[in-house]
Amino acid sequence: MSSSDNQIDFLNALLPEELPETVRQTSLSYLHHLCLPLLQEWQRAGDMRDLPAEYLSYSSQHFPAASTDRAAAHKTLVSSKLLTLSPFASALNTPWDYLPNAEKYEQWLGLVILCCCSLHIKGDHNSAIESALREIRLIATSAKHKPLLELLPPPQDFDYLLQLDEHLHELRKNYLNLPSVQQLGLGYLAVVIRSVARNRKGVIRQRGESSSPTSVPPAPQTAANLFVPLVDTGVDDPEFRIEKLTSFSKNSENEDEPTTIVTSVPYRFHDRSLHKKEIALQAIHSIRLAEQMRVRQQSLPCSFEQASEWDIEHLVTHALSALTRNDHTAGWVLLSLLSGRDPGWHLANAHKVQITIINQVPCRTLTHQVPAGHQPNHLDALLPAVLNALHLPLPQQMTAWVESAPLQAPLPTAQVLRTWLKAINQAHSTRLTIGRINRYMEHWFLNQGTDRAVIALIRGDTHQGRPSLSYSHQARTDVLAHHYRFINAVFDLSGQQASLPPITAKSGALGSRLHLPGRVLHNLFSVLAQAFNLEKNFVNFHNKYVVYVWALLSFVTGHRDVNAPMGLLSDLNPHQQTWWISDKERRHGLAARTLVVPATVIEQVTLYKEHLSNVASYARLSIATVCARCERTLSGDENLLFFLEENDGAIVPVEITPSRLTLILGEQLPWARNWGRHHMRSELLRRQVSPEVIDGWMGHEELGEEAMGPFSQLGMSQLRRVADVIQAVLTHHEIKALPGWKTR
Amino acid sequence: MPRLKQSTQTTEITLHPAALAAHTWSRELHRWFNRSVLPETMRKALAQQPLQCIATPSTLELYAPLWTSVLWQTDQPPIGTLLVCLTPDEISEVEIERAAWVSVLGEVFNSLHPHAISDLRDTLKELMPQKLHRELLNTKTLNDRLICKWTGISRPTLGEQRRRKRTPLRPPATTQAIIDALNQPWGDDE
Repeated sequence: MSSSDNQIDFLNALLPEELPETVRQTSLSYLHHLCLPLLQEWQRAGDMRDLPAEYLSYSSQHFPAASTDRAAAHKTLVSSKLLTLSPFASALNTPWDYLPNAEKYEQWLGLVILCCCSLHIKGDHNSAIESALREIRLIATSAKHKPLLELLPPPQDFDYLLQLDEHLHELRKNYLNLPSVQQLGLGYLAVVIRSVARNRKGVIRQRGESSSPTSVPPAPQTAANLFVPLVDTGVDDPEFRIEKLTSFSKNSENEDEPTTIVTSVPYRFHDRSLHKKEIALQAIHSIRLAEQMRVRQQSLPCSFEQASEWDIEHLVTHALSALTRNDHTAGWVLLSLLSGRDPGWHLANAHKVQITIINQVPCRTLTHQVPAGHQPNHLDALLPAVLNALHLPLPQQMTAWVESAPLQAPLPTAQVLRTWLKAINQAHSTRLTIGRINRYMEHWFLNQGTDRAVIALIRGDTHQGRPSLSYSHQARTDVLAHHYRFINAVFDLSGQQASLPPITAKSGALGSRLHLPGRVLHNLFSVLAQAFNLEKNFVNFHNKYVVYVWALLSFVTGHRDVNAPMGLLSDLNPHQQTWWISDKERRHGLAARTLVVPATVIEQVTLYKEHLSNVASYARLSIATVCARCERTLSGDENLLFFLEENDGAIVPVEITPSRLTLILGEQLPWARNWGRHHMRSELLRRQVSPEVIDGWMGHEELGEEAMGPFSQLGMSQLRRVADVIQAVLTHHEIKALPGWKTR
Repeated sequence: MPRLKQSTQTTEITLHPAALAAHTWSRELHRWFNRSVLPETMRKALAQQPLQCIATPSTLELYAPLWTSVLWQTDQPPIGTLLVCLTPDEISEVEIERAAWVSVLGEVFNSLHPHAISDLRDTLKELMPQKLHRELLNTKTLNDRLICKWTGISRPTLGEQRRRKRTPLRPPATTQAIIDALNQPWGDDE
């Protein structure tokens, strides 16, 4: 292939033929005028030697006469939505004339384009090229990126690219406080310059199986095909060494792999210039990650990243001793241990946490509010009240420290805390850090099987960070009992008495108010049943019956208030009594789960199917759309629950949406439609169901808590236990499956 | 002359517009027998009664008998059902309406629930045209005296049925009524 052909291929790759012809011509012309003189300068200094200067020479032999109106070309690119088709064309045609520092920008534009051309020839730098070209374009067009130009040094001040690279490296270190957009942008520019200056190899990224069918798969880089020639040629480089560990016949390399096991040909390859993270190191990191995941998932009493009992014993002993000497830092360390929060958190959250003396007892008072904790006043007769504050007593030994109003005084710095802990670590061979101390409480609670919502409440988490918190209606005494158990446990380790005040039997709860009293729960379903039983009109009857069925099914499955609730009839397996619930926006998302449902649900679905058959019979011949919809629902082709609406005199089936539910329900449900999730979570907890199983049942799955994940140990038996408990709730409150429309 | 056909998988039957009132009246009445729970064989046998239809270029329009549609398993009659087809030139709209009403009256008189006698009287009076009252029932409109005579129930019984229908229980409608209903004492709660 001639040099001219290579040039055309090169330019076609930079500026694809799909671009409008005027844009290509303008780009080529500017590439020639801007970059060629710059390239010659850099090549005189020894840089970018791999980029042939003739590649950038614009030749009218191959292309028609050029236009130079770059502003028009840019406008064409924007209006045709082609900005991303060719990063080179977009960068070359960026309008920059109005910039205050236009000359400097042009220098940088030329340099970045040259570097990108050079990297393009090297190959495997596509991501770096696209990012750098995009950044240089945005510097001229985006107000957020524009300040970066002021930071960049004039490129002509540097003789070599390596110098510029070093300067940019320092610049990145010195400007860590830049807005993230500019930090990233600086990084993109620095990467292409560094890659050219240091002749870096590109990175091949493969995305699973979905690589482009036209792309050629990279040749497998086995030890044999890479290193054998080097061994044979006897390369002698201290940075690059190959050892052949066994001798073998040369001919065997050319033969097919034998069907029997033969001695392999191992090579040992040393290349210090490769990335430091070698396979062995990666393996060690993987093991470490797996261990961390295990800790988070199972919360085992682990020996890493968690303080041991030995550590805590000495910490408490030392802190109590220091408190007697009015050591301010000791109080903060002890509070960190007992609250699961570092000192800084308390200051940042001063609006919701107080450390005060209440009734002569040192206390940490948390303000706790969730959305369902606020209900209209007229519901006060129906719903239980909740408290907005939780007083968590602290050990008596902290009285003097609490009286000193620690939040008003300056907090100990991280350095002070480290120094304070260092003394214990050295004296008792402990491995205390402030992080381990903060995390100890959560680990301890999880090891005891405590509900994560209770832990979150004691730590002062928000309901946004722990969704189960917003659903929980927690008795104050239960939360206090957990808090007391933890404090007593850590004090027992060091043989001390926390002397906490006795828990009074005063009632009171925290969190959501939507835990219905028994009579309200029973009456609610009675009211819903009464509504359709008294209805004579078949459209109204169907709609109100569907509301009853929806209320029962969503209550029993903890279904979220979404469009098309309960999905399809085929989501239910009546033989195994399981229901696949998917109640988030994505039908196959993480929140999707399979639940075992109680017998009442199966009975209700059977009755609902009979209802649909009867409605189909009733509507046959006269309301064909309704009849057809019933049949499609029964065959599992359309959503299980639907309403009927009268539209211009015709009756049409419509899907259930939250707004339509509100319309049909009217005042019958005077609180949030997802009340069932609130009530059932609190009820299941009250009936001793494991909190992790409840979180799985509700679809609250976060890192390390995937109840339905491949490594979960959740079994059907646990879900059956949940179903049994729910059935007991239904039976106790006389909530029954009810028949629907009858066409006799 | 009527033509005979047998329904197939591709047969498409709709309701004749002149038969709509009769069909609407008949489907609202409460029957003595619950036909939806009859044995499958019985339902199938009953559903295969011959049907009278008007053949149009695109579809068959059913007008009598109308009651078997309740027993169909799909939105079409069972395959093999005998269809007696006429063209629109062979039968007038008036005759179709009359045939539809005769069909449903015959079925209702044979199976009406005793508690729905007042319904029959009141709804028939509203929906069946007066000329058909005169022609079929020999009266201007169906009155209480006649219905009592035909069914053997007393007029006070008829009055009692009507009274119950007029004063149905209503579910609580206002916010306060619902809150009161939800707050009713129940069981061992509080």
